Amino acid sequence: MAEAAPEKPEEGGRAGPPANEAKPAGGEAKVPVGKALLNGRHVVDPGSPLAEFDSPHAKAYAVLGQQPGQEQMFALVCQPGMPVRAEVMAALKGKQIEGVLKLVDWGPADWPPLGQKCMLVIYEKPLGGRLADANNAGFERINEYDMARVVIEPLLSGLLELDTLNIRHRSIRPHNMFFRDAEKQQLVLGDCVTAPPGYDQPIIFERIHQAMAVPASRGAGSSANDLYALGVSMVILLLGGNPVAGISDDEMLYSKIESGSYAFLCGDRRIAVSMVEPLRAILNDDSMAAWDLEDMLYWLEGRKLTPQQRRTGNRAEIGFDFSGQTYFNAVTLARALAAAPAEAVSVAKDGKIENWLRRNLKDIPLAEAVASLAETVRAPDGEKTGGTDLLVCRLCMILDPGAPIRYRGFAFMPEGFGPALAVEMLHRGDNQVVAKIIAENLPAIWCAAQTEHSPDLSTVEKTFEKLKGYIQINDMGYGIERCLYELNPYLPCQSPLVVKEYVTEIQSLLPTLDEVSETLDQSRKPIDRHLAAFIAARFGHDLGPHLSAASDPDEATSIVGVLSMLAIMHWRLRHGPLKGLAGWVASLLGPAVATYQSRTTRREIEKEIPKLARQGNLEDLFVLIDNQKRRKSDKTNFNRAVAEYAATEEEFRLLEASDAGQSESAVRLGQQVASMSSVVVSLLVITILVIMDIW
Amino acid sequence: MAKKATAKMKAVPSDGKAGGRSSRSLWLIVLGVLIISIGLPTVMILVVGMLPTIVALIVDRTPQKYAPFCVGGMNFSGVFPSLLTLWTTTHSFSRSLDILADPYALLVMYGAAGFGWMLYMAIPPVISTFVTVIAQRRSAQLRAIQKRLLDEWGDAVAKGPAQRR
Repeated sequence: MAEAAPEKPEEGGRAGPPANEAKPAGGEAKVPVGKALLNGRHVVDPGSPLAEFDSPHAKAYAVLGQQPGQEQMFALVCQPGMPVRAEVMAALKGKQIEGVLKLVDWGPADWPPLGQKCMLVIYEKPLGGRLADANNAGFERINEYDMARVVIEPLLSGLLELDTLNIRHRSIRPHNMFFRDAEKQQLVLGDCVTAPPGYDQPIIFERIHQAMAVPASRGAGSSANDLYALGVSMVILLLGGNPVAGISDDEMLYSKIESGSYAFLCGDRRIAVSMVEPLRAILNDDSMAAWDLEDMLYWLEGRKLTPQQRRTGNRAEIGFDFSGQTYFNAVTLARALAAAPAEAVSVAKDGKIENWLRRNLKDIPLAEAVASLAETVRAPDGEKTGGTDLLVCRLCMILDPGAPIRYRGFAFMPEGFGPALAVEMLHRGDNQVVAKIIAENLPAIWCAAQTEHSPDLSTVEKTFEKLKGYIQINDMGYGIERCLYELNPYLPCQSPLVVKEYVTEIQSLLPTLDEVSETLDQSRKPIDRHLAAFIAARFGHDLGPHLSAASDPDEATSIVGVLSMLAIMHWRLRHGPLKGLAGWVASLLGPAVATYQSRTTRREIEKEIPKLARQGNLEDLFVLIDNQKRRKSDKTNFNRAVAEYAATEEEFRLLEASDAGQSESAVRLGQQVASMSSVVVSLLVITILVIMDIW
Repeated sequence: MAKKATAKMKAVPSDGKAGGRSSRSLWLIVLGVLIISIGLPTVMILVVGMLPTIVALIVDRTPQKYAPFCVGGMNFSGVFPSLLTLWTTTHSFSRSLDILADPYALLVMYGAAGFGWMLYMAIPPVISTFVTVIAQRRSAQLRAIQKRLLDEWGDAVAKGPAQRR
């Protein structure tokens, strides 16, 4: 579902940011005050913005210390919280690709203006500047003769090389094209890593189905998506401007569906005959019929290929009236239904859609699928089984299977759900809809509705089945946060404790927590929902019991769970002493120590804790707190003490009860003693007298 | 018929019991007459000398009859020297009258009985005090144990394992 793994990055075989790269010889590089130092090599000056190289979601700044003969560079500073394409950064780093701006270096670095670490990407500076401004105006049109040489050849070459790396650019538009040389002869594609794939693309550059999705969820797609964007860029460059400027996104999408992208963009405009063939082919809305990169290369080499131009879906002779408008196409109707769910359910129940599909669109299988869904809706508990939104979502999937999943106004391609989830959660703070999507496992329904089978579908199904399992558990380490980190493998931990430190790898989490421990409120636990989910997703070992304990409402169990989780990470990741973190955890161990009943044991443990905290050893701290032998002994001795106390209480009770009859029984005892004494004395006297008389 | 036979069979042992009781009474009467006829002087001294015991027997209404035991024991110690004198000299009626007329002998008999009363009156309070002291001492010991347990295990030890977290 996500872009296939690129080739291994240079640093450590993982596409994480090179946070722990070796520093230059001579130890730690000095950071000039107020500047940012990336990987100990590149000094970026926040005081020198380069607005001409800005990306929509990353500002450009000057890189200092470059000599005239050396490569000129600029830095893009990514927005905090924006899911970036770290795997693409790792794959492109240092590679000189024709038609693509060279990515020199990347990684998180302290960014003084924000007072936190941000992802910095260093690019070679394009000496010829940007091809077009943001409005795709202000540039000279490129004629059909130059188009192949200046635009298509270098960019196609770049896309082919990216394709060998299994990377899609997904940010192809005139505004993101630069001239590498001052003579403006070498056109290159600009940044594509500072936002999710397709995120910055105006919908004119997106295929119909990707354009329907929210920008973050468009997904990397295939090379057809890049070619489509290149085709739209070619049209703009050939015409010298955007031919459909001023048309709203909705209208643009509607027109693309109704007329087809080529007809909509080129229509009766003057396109050079030599360009018609490739443009028809790459702007084909049927991605299966559209040219791929090789086809485009063949065309460049002069081979003849016949493009097939098809519109999306069949067109009915008589339209379907819905919500005050007439629709002739199942795709446009599906869009309209998704926008008005209550009305959509009503017309689905009435069988109007089914009849229209059967009689006018003449699509019997589609009509039967809609009829089957309508039956579900008409059932007595039909509304309860999924609710209006779910039913409309399923109806739209039937009518337009390739379209994004549309649920409660949130449209997403399943492969792009990860970045979309990140944007929804981190930028909009809205978890409700995305959580519901996972809980209902809508992507599984979407996969089942697909008419064209692909191996990616089973991956999508498996992924979302796993996520559904996570979201149903409310413990720390699960829930929507776990889904966020599972779907975004390079997203930095968003816990407020470490968010400023841009932690993307599990290896750097504990050292970072250790570093920042002194600056944080130590009355709070060092683990929260985000941290737990980040650990669970990245650690690679089962932490279920630890997470369950850490989520326990009982404070003592919870802190022992937290400590056990940190201890096992400390042990497995082989970190050195973590004095700050150990001290922090140690200060929270009061409730855990209090679980021991013996005060002597508590005193012993309390005496040991500071010593171990000073050593920074979390494992020993855990063994001290949760020593099973000691705990068992404490329990046994406590039970013994309880029994002893109960026995003393019982004896007290008996003493108190006998107190009332005490005097009476004592008197009786006295009388008994007196009578016995009297009898004994009498016998003695008699014996003595008899003996005396005999003698 | 069978019921009547059973009733008769049951009646036979009860008749035997009644007969045994009457014959035992008869034997006691015979023995009493023999003792009085043979040992009248001794009986006279015993009756007169043991008067305090007889009074104690009447006065003490408790089932245990500790007072007659206590008074009687000491009383008999006082009567026994006179009986010994009677038995070792002439066991006659006149001799027993002589002894009974001897104020010293009577003083010994009744003084001993009085000492018996004194024991009966004095020992119970002493014992009672002794028992109370023992109980208080045990109570203090129990409190010390409880304090030690509470110091080591806290209030939970008093609430029991069920109250433990």
